Amino acid sequence: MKDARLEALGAHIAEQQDRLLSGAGNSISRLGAPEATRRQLAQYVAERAERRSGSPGRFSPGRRVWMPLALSALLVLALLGARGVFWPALAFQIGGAAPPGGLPAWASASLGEGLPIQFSDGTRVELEPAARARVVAVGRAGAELVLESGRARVDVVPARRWPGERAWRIDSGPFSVEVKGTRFDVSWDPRADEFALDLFEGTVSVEGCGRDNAVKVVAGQGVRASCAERRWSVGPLSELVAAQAAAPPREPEAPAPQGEPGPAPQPAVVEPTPLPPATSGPRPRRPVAARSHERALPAWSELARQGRHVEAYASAERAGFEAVCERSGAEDVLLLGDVARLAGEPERAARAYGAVRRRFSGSPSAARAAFALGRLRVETDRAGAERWFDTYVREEPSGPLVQAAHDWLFELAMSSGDARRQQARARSYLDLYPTGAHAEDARRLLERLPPAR
Amino acid sequence: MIRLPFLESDASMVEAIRAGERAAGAALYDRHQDYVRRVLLRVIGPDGHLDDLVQDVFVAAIDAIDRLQDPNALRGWLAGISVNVARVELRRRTRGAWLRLLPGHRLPEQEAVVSDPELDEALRATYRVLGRLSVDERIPFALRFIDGMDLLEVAAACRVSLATTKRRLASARKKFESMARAYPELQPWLEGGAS
Repeated sequence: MKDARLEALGAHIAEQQDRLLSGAGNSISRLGAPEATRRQLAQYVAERAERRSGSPGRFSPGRRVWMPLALSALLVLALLGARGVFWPALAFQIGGAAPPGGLPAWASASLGEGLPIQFSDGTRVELEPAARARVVAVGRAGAELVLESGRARVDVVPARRWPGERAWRIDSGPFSVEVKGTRFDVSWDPRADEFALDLFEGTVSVEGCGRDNAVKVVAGQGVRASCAERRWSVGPLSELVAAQAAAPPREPEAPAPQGEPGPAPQPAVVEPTPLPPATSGPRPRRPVAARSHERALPAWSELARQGRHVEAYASAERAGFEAVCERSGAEDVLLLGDVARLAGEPERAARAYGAVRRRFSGSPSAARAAFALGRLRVETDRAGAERWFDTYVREEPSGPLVQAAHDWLFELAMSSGDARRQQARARSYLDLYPTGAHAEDARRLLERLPPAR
Repeated sequence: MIRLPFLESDASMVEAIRAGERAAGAALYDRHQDYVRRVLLRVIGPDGHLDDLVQDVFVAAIDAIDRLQDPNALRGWLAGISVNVARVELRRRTRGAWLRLLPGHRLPEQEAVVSDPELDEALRATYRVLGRLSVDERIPFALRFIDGMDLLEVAAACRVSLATTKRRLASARKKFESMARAYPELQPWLEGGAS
C-alpha cells in the first residue's frame, strides 16, 4: 500500500471521526458534560495556585475539615451529574490471593522473599523481604497503604482522577507520600527513625514530621529524612546515593550519654531543611534504611535490561559508577552510559562513554561510544554532535550504526541554515542511501535549492 | 461562554493559569478541547472513555504548566501531553488484559467501544489492525495517516527524533499493510479502489 492509499484511508477515517465530534448527537462524547468539566478545571486552577502559594488558610484546621468535604461533594456531583454511573473501588491481591477479611489488610513479607500487592488497575506494590504493610483504604482510583517497616517498590498506574477523589497515598511512620502515576522505592526503619524515598518516574508529594507544607519530589530525586535527627534532605538521587556511600559505617548500638550531643551530623546532602527543635538532642547520624536492603536489589545491569533506567542508574551509583567505568568491560561501560543518558544524567553518561573511548581506543566499542556521545549532544551542542557522528563514520564505515549516524548528520545539517552544507549533506546522503529515511527530503532539498557556489 | 480580554492569546492564558485565575482553566478547555479530543480519538479510536482522557490531558497540562517554556507553543505542547496520555491508556489496556487472566478478580470498568452505526467497517478494521501494532508504532501511524500531521509534528508530539519517527512509521506501515490483508473491509483501500 503506498502512502497515498494510506492517506486516503486515513482521511476517510478522519472524516467519520470529525463528523462524530462535531455532530449534535456527539456519540463519542455522549458521556461527557463539558460544562461540568469547565467548572472542574477552573476550580483546579484556583486550587493549584492556592496549594503553591502555601497560604496559611489552606492548612488551617478549618480548611483541613472543609476542603476534603468540598472536594468529595464535587466528586459526587461529577459522578452522579455528569456520568450517572457507579465505579467500583479497586480490588487487590496480596501474594496472589485475595485478602481474607476486610480492611485493613495486612501484608508481611517473609525474611527470605518479597511479597507483591497487586491492584486491579495494574498498580503494584512489592514489599521487599521482611517488610510489613497494611492496605487501609481503597477508592476507585487510588488506595492508602501504611508501610510499617522495611522497603517497598511502588509502581502506580496513572488513573483518571478528579481533584478530591482518593489518591494513592503511602504513610510510613511520621511521613506521608502522595502519589500520582509514578514509580519509586520507599523505605521506613522505625528503629533507626530513617525515611528514604527514591523517585524514578513522575512526581510525589512528601509531608510529615513537623513540616507545614508538602515537599514536591520529581523523577530522579530522592528524600532522606529523620525526625529525631531533625534532618530532611531532598535532592538528585546521584548526590543522595553518593553521600550515603560516603557516610561512615553504622556504629554499634552505643547510645550517647544522656544530655550530651553525639557526633556532629554530616553536612546535609542537598537543601537541608531544619525541622522544629526536637525535645531530645540530635542523635548520631546513621546510614539510611536503604543501605540494609542493597543486597536485595537487582544489579543495575539487570534493571537496565528491563528498561528501568532511573532505577538502574541509582543502583549503579550505589554499586560505584566510577569503578564500573574504570574496571568493567566495554559492553558494560557502554550500557552504563546508556543508562545514565536515559536516566537524564548526561554528564555522567559522557563520563562513561569517555571511559570507553580512552580505555578501548580503536575498537568497535570506542566507535559506538563516539556515536553515543553524538546522540548525547544533539540537543545541546549540535556542532559537537556532528563531530562525534563523523568520528563514528570514520572509525566504523561499515558499522551497524553508520546509517543512523548519516541520518543524524543529515538532520543536523538541515537545522544548520547553511545551504552549502545542506546540499553537500543531501548529496552524500542520497549517494549512500537512495531509499533511506531522509532520501525524499534530500531530493526535495536539492530540487528546491539553487546550486551552491 | 464569556471570553475575557486578557485571555485572548495562548500566552496570556498560560500566564493566567499560572496566576491561578479560575477563568483561565475554563478558557484552556474551551479553546483546545476540540483539538485534544481529536488527537486522542485518532490514536485511541472510538472509545466511550474519551471524555475521561480529555480530562486527564487538561489536568496534566495544568499540573505541568510551569514547565511550558514557550506559551505560544501551547497547542503543540498539548498534543505531546495528549500522546502521552494516549500511550499510558494503551499500555494500561495491555496490563488490564493481563490482569483479566487472574482468577476471581474484580475488574475496573471495561473498555466501552462505541458501536455507532455511522462508523463503517473500514474504520473498525483499521483500529483492529492498529491494536496489533506496538504502541510506539501505532501512535505515529495514527498521527501521520489519520490525523494528517506532517513528520515534524509527529516527531514533536511523540518527543522523538525525526529519523526515529521515520523508522517507526516505516515499520508500522509495513506491518499494517501485511496485517490489513486479512481484513476484507480494507481490501478496496489496499488495492486503491476506494475513496
